[in-house]
Amino acid sequence: MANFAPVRSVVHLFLAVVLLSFGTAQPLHAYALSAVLPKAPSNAILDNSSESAYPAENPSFNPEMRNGLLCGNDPVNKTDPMGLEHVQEPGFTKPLSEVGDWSQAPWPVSGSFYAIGGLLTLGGGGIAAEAGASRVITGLAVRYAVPGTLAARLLTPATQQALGKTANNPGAPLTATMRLGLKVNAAQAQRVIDAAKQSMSPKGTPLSLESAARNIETMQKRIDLIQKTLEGGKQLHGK
Amino acid sequence: MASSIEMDANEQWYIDSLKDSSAPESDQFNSIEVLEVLLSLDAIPILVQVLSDETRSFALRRRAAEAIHAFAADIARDALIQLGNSESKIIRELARVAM
Repeated sequence: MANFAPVRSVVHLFLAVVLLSFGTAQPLHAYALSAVLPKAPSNAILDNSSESAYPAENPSFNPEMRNGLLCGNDPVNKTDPMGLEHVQEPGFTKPLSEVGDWSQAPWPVSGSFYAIGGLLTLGGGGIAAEAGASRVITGLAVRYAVPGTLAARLLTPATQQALGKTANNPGAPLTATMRLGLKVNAAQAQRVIDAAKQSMSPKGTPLSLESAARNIETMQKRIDLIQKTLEGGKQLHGK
Repeated sequence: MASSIEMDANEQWYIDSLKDSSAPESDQFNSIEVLEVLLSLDAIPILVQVLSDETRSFALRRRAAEAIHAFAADIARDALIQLGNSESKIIRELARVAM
């Protein structure tokens, strides 16, 4: 199974940046226009104050406060999405704690943050989910793929190909199925070793010490071969 | 450079041990189980021979049929069908169970 997670996360990040750019385009234009044109107040953010928000009617208006700044004196902790005034000026702007969450900001702003948050979550979550699922599947397969079971039989052809026991493509990279099959086979071999150390066959029948020793030696060689194959990452030549 | 896989001397020993029907049955079972983990295609002929040998126990013959099917399903199908056509009813029954 090809691992496309890094590529997918890069694509997600790119889309998030594009969406953020489009999402913030309108407010940026609004800020630029606000430097030269009088502007109507935003009812979504402004208090119901009797003081006018129109610069020409507002004696406290200072045009320099709008030179590309979102909030004249504290843009990090305060919000003034329409760029009309600097913060904490009664009747015009509010601290974030009073504004509430981003859902109350103009939709391009809130939408951008929701989009980038969602895409970053999707990208990061996708990688985590894929890695987690892969680990779970491998763990289950290694644990329960007893020889003869359906799971083991499904993996057997790929395992035989990886080891060059059947027609394969020598030197070609191992596929994900081959890797899983090899891991399962190594786990099966380890079970034989564990049983032999108790002088038992894999099915639990008593073994002579000589047979047990042979089982251990044979299975250890298989495990070593599998480890070497996995590290090499290539299919072995056949006989 | 990928190295080739050769049949281990022990793998050959397990195969040879199955040829001797007088060997302890526990050893024969053990050999089948080890060969199954080794995915030993070289063991297929002797496993088919065990399967068709009526002097061996039903349990051992059935185990041989299971092993063949476990790591050589295609080969097993052909071999068992062929055996089923020429051997006794019990062989066909073993084939049916293993499939």
